[in-house]
Amino acid sequence: MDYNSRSYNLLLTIGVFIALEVISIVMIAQNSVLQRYLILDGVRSTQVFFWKRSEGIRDFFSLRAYNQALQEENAMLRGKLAQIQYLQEAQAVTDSTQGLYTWIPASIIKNTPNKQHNYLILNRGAKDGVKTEMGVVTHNAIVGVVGAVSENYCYVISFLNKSQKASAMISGTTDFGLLTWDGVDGNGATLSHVPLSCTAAVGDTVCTSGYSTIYPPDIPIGTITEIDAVSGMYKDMAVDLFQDIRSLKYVYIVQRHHQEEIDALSKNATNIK
Amino acid sequence: MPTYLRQIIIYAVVILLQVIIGNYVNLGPMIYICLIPLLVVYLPLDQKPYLSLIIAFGLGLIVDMLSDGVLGLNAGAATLISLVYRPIFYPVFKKNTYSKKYIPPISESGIWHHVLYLLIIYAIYFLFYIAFDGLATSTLLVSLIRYFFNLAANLVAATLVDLTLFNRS
Repeated sequence: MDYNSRSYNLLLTIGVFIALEVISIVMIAQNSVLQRYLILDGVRSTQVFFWKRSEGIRDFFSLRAYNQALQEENAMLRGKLAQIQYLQEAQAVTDSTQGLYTWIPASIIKNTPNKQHNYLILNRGAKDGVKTEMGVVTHNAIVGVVGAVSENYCYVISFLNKSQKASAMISGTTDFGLLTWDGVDGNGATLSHVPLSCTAAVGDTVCTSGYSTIYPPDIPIGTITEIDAVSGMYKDMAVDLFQDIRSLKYVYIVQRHHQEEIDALSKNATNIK
Repeated sequence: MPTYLRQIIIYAVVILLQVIIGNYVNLGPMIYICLIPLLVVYLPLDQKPYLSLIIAFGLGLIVDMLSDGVLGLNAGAATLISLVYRPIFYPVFKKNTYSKKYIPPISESGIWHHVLYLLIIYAIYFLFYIAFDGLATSTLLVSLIRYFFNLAANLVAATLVDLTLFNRS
């Protein structure tokens, strides 16, 4: 280093100046109670300012963990809500078809977004209680159905799959139909086989009907953007989905209690026919 | 007598004067006569800036210790002006014919250049001094009145000392 250089001297001067001013201020603070109080107050305010900033940065990097915790808490609350709803309904009527749901929070570890037959892999498996035929949802989307389960992971057939259908209804009515992906983009779906008598209009909300054992009822899915009468018997409706499944990171696997019992009952009923 | 020896004697006299004024001359609570800035501006202009800082800090500290004030107050203010006295010198004393080693004598530059130079230096000095001395204990108005009183009184005192000691023929 060139000890005679202009920049070296400048740095040295600034360094000495700061050091001497700090010494002076420390001396002022130590020799006068009032000055000490006020200077330390200023120092604390500066510290708090930097602590807040560093806390903000730390929070940012902890978001994943927070999300995970919130998701688990959310799942627990949803479970409790379903329990309360079930108990209320059990008290009011003897019919308890709504049943109880268990919500298992999960993260998507693989998502195939650009195929016609899309699938997802979630980080929950048999050890977490996941079984095939369970539904996968978010608070405003149906994501798919569990197709296969390993010890730690499960394979989900995405709703963005032309073979997938879900029972959906128009909010505030009893009209329902079959919702399928339109195969074009992540936000497009078609609600088909809606009765002609349905008075739904463009802009109305479509939600899950709960008429299958896979998805719980009343999850808002999207809004109607177009209505077409088909062959004089049904209406088909274009639906703009609220959530693009391709951008999801966290989901819930939904387990309907007594599902096996309901499935067995359906099977027996079919045999009776 | 060599210049540096003369300079040292003048510095010793001014410090002594400062201690006497600080301890025995009572001008009321508002006015504090301080001769340290005068000593700082007479430091050689060609010496290393960090040395000027250290000397100014030391001078301030000596006065702080010898007078009944808050330790560090004069030291901090003197350090501040030792950082800025050089950049202020050149615009005030515009002629480049002056010696680059010391502030030119009044006989060469005229008294108003000296007064203007001291005014700027004292303005900065008391900005630090009053800010830290009256830290949130005085209202802004009181601090401003104190600031301008001190500026006027010190300018007169410093000019007198400048004329009688530093510019004595």
